[in-house]
Amino acid sequence: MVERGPADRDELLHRVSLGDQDAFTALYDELSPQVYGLIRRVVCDPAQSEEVTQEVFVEVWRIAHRFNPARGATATWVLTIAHRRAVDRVRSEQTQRDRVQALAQVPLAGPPNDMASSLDRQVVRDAMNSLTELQRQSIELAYFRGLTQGQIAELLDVPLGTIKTRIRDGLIRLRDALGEGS
Amino acid sequence: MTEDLHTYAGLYALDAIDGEVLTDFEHHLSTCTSCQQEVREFRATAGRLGSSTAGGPPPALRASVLAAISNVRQDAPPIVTPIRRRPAWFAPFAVAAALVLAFGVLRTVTNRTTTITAESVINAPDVRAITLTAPAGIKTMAYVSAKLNRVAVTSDGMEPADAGSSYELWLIGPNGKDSAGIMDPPPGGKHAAVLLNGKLDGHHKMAITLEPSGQVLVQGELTL
Repeated sequence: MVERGPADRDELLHRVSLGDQDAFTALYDELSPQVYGLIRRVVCDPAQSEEVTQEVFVEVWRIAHRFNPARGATATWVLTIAHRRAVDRVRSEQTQRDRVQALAQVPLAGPPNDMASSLDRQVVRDAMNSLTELQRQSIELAYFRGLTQGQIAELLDVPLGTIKTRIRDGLIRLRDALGEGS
Repeated sequence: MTEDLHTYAGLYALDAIDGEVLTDFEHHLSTCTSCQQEVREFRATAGRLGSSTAGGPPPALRASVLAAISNVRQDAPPIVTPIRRRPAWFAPFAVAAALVLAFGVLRTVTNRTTTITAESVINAPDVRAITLTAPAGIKTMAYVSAKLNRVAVTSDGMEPADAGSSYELWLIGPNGKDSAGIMDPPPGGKHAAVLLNGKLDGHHKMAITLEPSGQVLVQGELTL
């Protein structure tokens, strides 16, 4: 597979917005590992992860014209849609308490990361390791487990306001460590 | 509360707030440029975390997704139709063409050139301009023409919706609400007039919501 840069992806998405199915196929090949990987991490169940991945790409096809390159990278836009869909799925599927209790048993590790370039993974891992324990846990529970502020506070037994500030402080540190590219 | 809302950008970017807090923050976000900036940056950061989890989707999914999109119509972008000026040399051809056209075809052509646009509603002789109720910093006007039976809307100060969200237009009548299209303001918030889909008919109210949360941002009566 040819590695594409962010500008090429913007161009692909622009062509998708004009109804170009070949461009859509190329965009799928480009971004589906990241989209599926994230959804699988949040949703866990493989069959449901596939369903949500399909929903996300159908939505990308449908609303491609709304993408504005001045406001962020194509991958960020698609992953934002993917995350929201994944979170909607896990929240509709189980009651809050079931999920919080179930998660207490599950270690914070995802499915195998075969496709992510190991360099990228290393950079992200280093950045995550530079956070305080509470910052890292809160961000992982929110982003990778799809928990709300209230659920995280309950699970970690920490006040709501503390979760809010730790997540924001943690994201600022990650942002500065990782830069804006994606 | 407003001061406090600024600190929700992190939770929002990770989709970790819901309910009333989400509604309040999205309301705040529609006018706060520093929060918009922070949410954008945090989402890019979150995207880096997301990318690091990449794992190959099952190969069969590809065919399934490609089959799915071939049956899905794309949302049309909100187009402001420019008035196309034909070059001067076109006129003789147009006359000649018109002469050989059957009357029925000619009528179709005539109808097409009188398609209602947002501009034609705003310039309609019977137009009524109504200021809609909007959050601070946003000015939204509805233009209603009973004669054309259509509604157009303009906005100033409305920033683009975030990725995954959109502004939806609604016409509200005695039988409930009807979706009247999507509004897509450009950065900077100055928006060309948008024609609402659907006829005015019995609708007495309109609204603009932020989807998918459904929060009502703008609303007003259309009564003449």
